Amino acid sequence: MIKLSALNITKKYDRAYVLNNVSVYVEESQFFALLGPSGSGKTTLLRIIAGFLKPDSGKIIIGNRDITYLPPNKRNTAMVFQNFSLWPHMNVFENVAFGLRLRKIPNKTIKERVYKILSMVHLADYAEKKPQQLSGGQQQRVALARALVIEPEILLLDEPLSNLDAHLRDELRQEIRTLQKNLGITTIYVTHDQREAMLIADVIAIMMNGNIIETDSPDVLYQEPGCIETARFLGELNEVEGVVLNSENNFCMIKTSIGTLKAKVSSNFAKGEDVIVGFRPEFLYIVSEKTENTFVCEIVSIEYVGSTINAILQSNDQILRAAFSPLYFKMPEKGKLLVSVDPEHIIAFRKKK
Amino acid sequence: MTGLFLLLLIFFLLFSVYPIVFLFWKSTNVSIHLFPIVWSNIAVRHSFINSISLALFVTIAASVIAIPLALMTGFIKIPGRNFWKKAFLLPLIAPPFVSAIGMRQILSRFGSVNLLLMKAGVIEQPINFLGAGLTGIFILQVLHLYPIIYLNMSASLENIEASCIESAENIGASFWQTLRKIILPMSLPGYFAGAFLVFIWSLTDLGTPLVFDYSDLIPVSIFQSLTDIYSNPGGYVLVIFVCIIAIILFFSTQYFLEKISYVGIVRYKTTKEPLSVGKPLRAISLIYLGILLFISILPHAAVILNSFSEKWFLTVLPERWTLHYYREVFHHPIAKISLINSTLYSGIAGIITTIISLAIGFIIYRTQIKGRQILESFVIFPMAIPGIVFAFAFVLVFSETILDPRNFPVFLLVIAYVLRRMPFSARSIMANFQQIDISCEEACLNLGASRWTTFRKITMPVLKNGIVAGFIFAFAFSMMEVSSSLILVSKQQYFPIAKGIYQLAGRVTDGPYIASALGVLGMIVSFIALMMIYKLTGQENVSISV
Repeated sequence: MIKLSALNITKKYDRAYVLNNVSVYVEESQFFALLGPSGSGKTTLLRIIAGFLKPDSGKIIIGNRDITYLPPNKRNTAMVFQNFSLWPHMNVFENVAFGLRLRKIPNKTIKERVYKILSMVHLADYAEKKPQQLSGGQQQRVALARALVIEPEILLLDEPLSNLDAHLRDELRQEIRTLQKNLGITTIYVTHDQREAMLIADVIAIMMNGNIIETDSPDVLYQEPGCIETARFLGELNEVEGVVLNSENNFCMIKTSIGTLKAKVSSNFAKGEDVIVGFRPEFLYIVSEKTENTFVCEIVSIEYVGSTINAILQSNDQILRAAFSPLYFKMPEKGKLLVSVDPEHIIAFRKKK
Repeated sequence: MTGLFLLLLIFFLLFSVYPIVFLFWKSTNVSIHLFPIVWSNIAVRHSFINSISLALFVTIAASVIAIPLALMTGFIKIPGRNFWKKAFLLPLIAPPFVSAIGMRQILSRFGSVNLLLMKAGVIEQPINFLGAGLTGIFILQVLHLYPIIYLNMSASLENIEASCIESAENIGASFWQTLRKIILPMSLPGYFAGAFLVFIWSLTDLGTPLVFDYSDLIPVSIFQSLTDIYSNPGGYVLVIFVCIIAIILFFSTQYFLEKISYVGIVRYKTTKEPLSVGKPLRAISLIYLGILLFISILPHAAVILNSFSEKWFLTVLPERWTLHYYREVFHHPIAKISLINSTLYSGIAGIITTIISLAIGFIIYRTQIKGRQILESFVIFPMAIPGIVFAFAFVLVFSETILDPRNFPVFLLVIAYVLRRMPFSARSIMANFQQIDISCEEACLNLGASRWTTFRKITMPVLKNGIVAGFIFAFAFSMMEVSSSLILVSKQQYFPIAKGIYQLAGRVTDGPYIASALGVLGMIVSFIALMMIYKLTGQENVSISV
């Protein structure tokens, strides 16, 4: 069931489109991430949903209420900000209780609900502390509790982890995910960090230049991206230009500078069409004899990362990156290498004119 | 460096700490048992009550004016928002005792307002707006001081993050709820800092009551007691009283500020869009701002008119105009000498203040000398001690010594200027020091530059604006320093501007006109200084202790 729809949202600043006819549909209890580089319009979209900005055109609908022109305080959404934004003149308890007090809920109930939510974020013992006495991670937990305690219809998170250090970020990300699943709250999460989005979201919408270019689950977006921008944005991509030789039964043969490659495609290409062939470094593997989709490379350099062995290879002037399994420990740092990539892991994109 | 540190230490101990300690020590000997006797004097009791109530009501009135002002310019989307934000610095360019001269012209029995009202037939008999003088003092102080609360509170408001306000709206708070529960409490630190300054300012303002010839106030009593300082203990008691109030208030404000200080909260500045509010609220705001600005600059305008008027008596506006009094400024013995003197004194004070501030900044941030932090306390110390107390203590301590202000006041006057401006100039420069990451200097040293080259090429360019701003600040506001100027100087040849204006304003013939012309020159200097500081530092809250 669709819980939130943003329909044909357009927003301009000084004639430049920040959002250009964007639509999103978020299902009940879904964890929905808006992922994009800075300036792509994701925060603007979130702020329009929260009601801090008015769209130039388009509609925001929660359930079946049109809330496009409702002020933020009447929307029953709750937002967690990048910079925590706790109120320094109130202690943790008062910060969390604020929204409940506004709703004139009896004190006893407020106390119960605040402590319940505080223990969910592991901060029940900190109720009397002032925000400035807490660490960054704790402050952000309070902000999360403050948003969740009012039981909003939609939880909005605007890069909530970007001001935390790496370790805390992982920890809090998992907590947010668990809380969201347990409470079943519909959540929209804005981030520019693709790893974070992949780890946390059920569905990711990728935004670029004020448009949503693709929306799907993280694994589909990563393995079978519908466009090259998505593929480039989510992780590393080897790109090789080529021409379609023939195309049938969802497979096509493509002539490239590193040899003829077989790729799995969702729609058939015309013979002679210019394409870009893309495959991810980790899908390259070393083989001992030449079969389908194998090619010879010169090793340019090898880096040991630990979890992978990153190699830069060269095949007929084409530089390729590979991330081999650490099983190839002590592989030679010079010389030739025979590598392969399965047709399922090669994607052909139409070359834009 | 240690030598410099010791030198600074001696300077502060001798001219800042010792006089105050001496004052207290002396007063425990002289005045404790005299306190009941002094208190039994009705006139003294009267001035006590007057002064405290004046300060209290001025603070309340200034708050009532300044709080909405800060909120309007801080949050509401109004046409000309940037203009309004700066416009309310204007009242600060002249100390109230200068605008008092203009105020007398407007509000006196046969001043412009009464004449206008009588002409229009609204009243038949002139209204005594100024009362016995206290009302006039109240009005002028309020009009002069509300910007101090406004500036401090605005600084606090600026620091509230947009998302703190949005979070409240977002979880259901209305505009007024957000205002009451989030915005106002979060701007309290700025408000209190401003209110403290206003209260002490009003309590110890000497110039304004003198111009209104009103003597039932503590500062005036202190001033008058100086003539018989050794035979009349009244002055002591009052000075000690003022000093104790100031110190208590200063430290309780500091304590309170620390308690509610928001340092330590993780924060990242976000730009705050002004709120679009409904037409009625916007219209009310604009009307409020317009009327307030008009009233605020009225006394200044009157001073300006006064300085150009050949005759202004029993008419709404001057009858004939002249530049005569500006020529007089450079010829009249009192005006000429006080203009030259003040420029000289303030120039020297500005240079000394800047050098000392730089030295302190350097010692605190670039050396490891033990106990260097104490310099910071010395810098702030004069904030807790009103100018009038300092001046009184100087007279007390240094009379009959080689520095006796009755013989040669210039030395002590300059020192008083330096101490009074130090908290602001030094902190502006120290703030700049903090901005320079020490590794930037280390990188320069590391590449082979000497310490001196590093200071010249790396440190100085960053400090430059702060130093110039610190100097201008010290210079301009020493020109307009009142209490020490009035108290320390008695010989005409040493008159600074404030004393000159005071003397001239009290004369019947052309005195007030020349005083006005002098005042206008002072305003121009202050105005240019404010603009320059604003340009140099990009800050609005620079003029906090005019």
